[in-house]
Amino acid sequence: MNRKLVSILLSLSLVLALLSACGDSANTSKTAGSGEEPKQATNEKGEVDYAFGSYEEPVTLHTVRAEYASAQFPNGDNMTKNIWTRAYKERFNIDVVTDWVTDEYDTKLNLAISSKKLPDVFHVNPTQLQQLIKADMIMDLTEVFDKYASDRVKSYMEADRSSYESGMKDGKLYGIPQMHWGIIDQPDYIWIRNDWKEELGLPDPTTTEDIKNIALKFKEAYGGFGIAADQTLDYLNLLAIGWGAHPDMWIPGEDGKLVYGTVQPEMKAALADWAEWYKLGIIDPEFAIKDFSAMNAGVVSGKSGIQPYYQWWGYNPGVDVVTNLGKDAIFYPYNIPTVDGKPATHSIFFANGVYTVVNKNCKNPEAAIKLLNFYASMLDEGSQKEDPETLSAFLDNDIAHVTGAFKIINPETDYTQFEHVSEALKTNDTSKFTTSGMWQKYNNSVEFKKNGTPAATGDFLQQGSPKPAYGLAKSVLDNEQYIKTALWGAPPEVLVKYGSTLDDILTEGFTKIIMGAESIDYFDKVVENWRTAGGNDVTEAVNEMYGQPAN
Amino acid sequence: MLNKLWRQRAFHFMLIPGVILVFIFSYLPFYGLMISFQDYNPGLGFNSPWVGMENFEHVFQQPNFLRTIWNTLYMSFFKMIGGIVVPVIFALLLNEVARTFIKRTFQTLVYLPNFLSWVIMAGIMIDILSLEGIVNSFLGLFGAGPVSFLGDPSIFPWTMIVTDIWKGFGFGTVVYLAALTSIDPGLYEAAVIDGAKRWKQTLYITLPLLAPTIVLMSVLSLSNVLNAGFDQIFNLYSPSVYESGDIIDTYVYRLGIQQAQYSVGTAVGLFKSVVSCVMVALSYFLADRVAGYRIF
Repeated sequence: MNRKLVSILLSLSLVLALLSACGDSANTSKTAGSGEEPKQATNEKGEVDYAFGSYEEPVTLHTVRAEYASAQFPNGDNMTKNIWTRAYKERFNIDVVTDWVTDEYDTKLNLAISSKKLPDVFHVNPTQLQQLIKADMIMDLTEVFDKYASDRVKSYMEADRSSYESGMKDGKLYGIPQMHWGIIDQPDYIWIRNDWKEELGLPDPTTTEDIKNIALKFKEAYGGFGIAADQTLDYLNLLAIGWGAHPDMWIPGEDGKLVYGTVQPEMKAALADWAEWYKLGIIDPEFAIKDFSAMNAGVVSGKSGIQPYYQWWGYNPGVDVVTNLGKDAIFYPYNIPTVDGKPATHSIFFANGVYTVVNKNCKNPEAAIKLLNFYASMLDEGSQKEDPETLSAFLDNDIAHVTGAFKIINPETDYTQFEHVSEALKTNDTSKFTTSGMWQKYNNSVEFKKNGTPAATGDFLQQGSPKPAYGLAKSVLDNEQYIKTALWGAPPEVLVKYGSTLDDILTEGFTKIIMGAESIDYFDKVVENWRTAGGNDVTEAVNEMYGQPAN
Repeated sequence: MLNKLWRQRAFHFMLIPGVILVFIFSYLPFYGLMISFQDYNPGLGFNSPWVGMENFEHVFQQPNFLRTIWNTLYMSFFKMIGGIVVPVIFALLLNEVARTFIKRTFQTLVYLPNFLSWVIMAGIMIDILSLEGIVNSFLGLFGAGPVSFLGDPSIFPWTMIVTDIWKGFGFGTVVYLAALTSIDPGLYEAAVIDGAKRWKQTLYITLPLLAPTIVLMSVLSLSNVLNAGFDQIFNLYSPSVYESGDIIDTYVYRLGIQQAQYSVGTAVGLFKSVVSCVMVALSYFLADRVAGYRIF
């Protein structure tokens, strides 16, 4: 009896000890609230240099990072200890401590959020941003940002104000958008294999009928299948603007209410033609079971000469295509042709997917802003301020992407860069270059022309080729041949709640239509299924959040 | 009672670590089930707002959810049947092999695929089963047209069933072989004297004595009736086979987990646990009634 009691007590105390241990570790990460303004270095005039001044006393910031696999670190460096973290210490006296690095960032961060073990500074997606604001776990950065952000960083916010505002709630700034390279990277193209096209003497495509004919000729002459596609239909869908359809976009319908582009009648027309193409054997017969890498494998092995794709074709699969099939086998981008031969209207999506946020209990939120200032200045002005080797160590081999939460991009980077690079390639005058990115694109373009180096394919096809992707995109932007999705910011909760299941209904139904398992009239049934499954709810929610007020 | 406890105190002490582990990892998490009745926000944790049965309604109102239940039951049923029949037959055949070396070799060979994850197996399967893969090339020799094993909704479930049984039957075989060695050789000797041939011996000695093991394995596998193999199907399916290949787990993955909708995921997990619990209780009852076999 006694023994039994003792054993029960023992096991109970063990459980309690374990529980209290968990509780302890959860509490330690909570430190005191913000204190006095720390001492910072002054500039020549004796004023405090808020944006770039170094601290007199060391400041520690905890952060967490997502693995960036393609970064090639010099010996001994890694995600947590590299040239950036050393610079934070040397130039700002900020010790950045990385609590963890993972390749499942969102999941791990969600766990950290629910166990309340948040670092000081970290980056989040739009959904997490909303959850954190709701839970009152992140800091209102309005004033800190105003005081400490450099003019350059502020100019980014002005350049894409809607992204800036998407980080706010009730006029207060909670998440600093990390921005993007600019919407010039958004228009899509149909990429066509150049040596085949020239050998057969085919003209550039201007109508959707032309794509069909090129694909048929390719198939006849070189075998394989004409057009590469994958099971998600994401790539085939890039062509849909040729039929005036805008899949995945929220656009104003006839009555001014927002409607979902994927379920509009234009999409039906596109599907009808694709079904015909599939029947002719010019869409990969196995597209329905191919994922992204399997689709690209078909292109790399020379089975396909046409691929609807983004501007970065040259990076992936382009590099592999050149390695495997030689320099002449590169694909060139063409504007997506339309049914009637008129220029297509491109789809532009909300581009900011990441926000930098600061834990409510962080003592030095301004330190995070300083590091953002530093990042922006390195990228935009680095080539004027640093010597080339130092700058290369900061940026090249994808080291520029390892800074995690301390990253912010000029939303006009690519546009300006392309202007400078294409000008320099014409005149051979590189004196106007201001960023290291311009040098990289320029040098690689020249390198590819000279030696056909596979690794330079991406930059060459994006900016330096005779038919650069950005050249087409620039004219799309300059002539305003695009519409923006109305869903400009975080998606409404209802939309998140359905996950991908609503789109799955459409993808599944469309796949059947394309493969001929169902006739084109099945489209209306698929759309009806989509509506009853939740499409109507979602449409309403999107209208409520982003629609124009009813007039 | 207390007296008995006292006499067996050494055993009870030895049980304590196990009991504590089970308590911590299997019973404490019950607490977390409450989030299936909440609109869970990681930031608020267990203090998230209560929403009653809303998450369950949300899932069950999905028009495609019912077919995933059917697909799950269909595939797991045949996987279960195959997972019992194939290893039993294979174990019986292997048991007849006289040379120990050959027996051991085959035992190891069929057990090996068990150790490979479906992520790796899926890569191999996609290659083997593609339109130009070796299976279709082989079928081509007999003039059969290429079959889209992974893209045709009417074939896909059977591709899953067959490949899953193939991958897993080695484990069952090892278990049944072990059970076979425990059968008293005296029984066979007696049967031989009575003039029973191999077949009769198998029918009247081996199978009846193997029955408890078979029942045990079946009861254990019944708890998996709502798990039709997420790893396998997730790595092999595509939108073109959703109608017959989408199972509860893959559907919930796309509905909730992908977008970190923990409440929905937990709601379905709870639903599955309840059904599995009923299934185990039922099979336990049936095993007792029909086969007169009790595990506990």
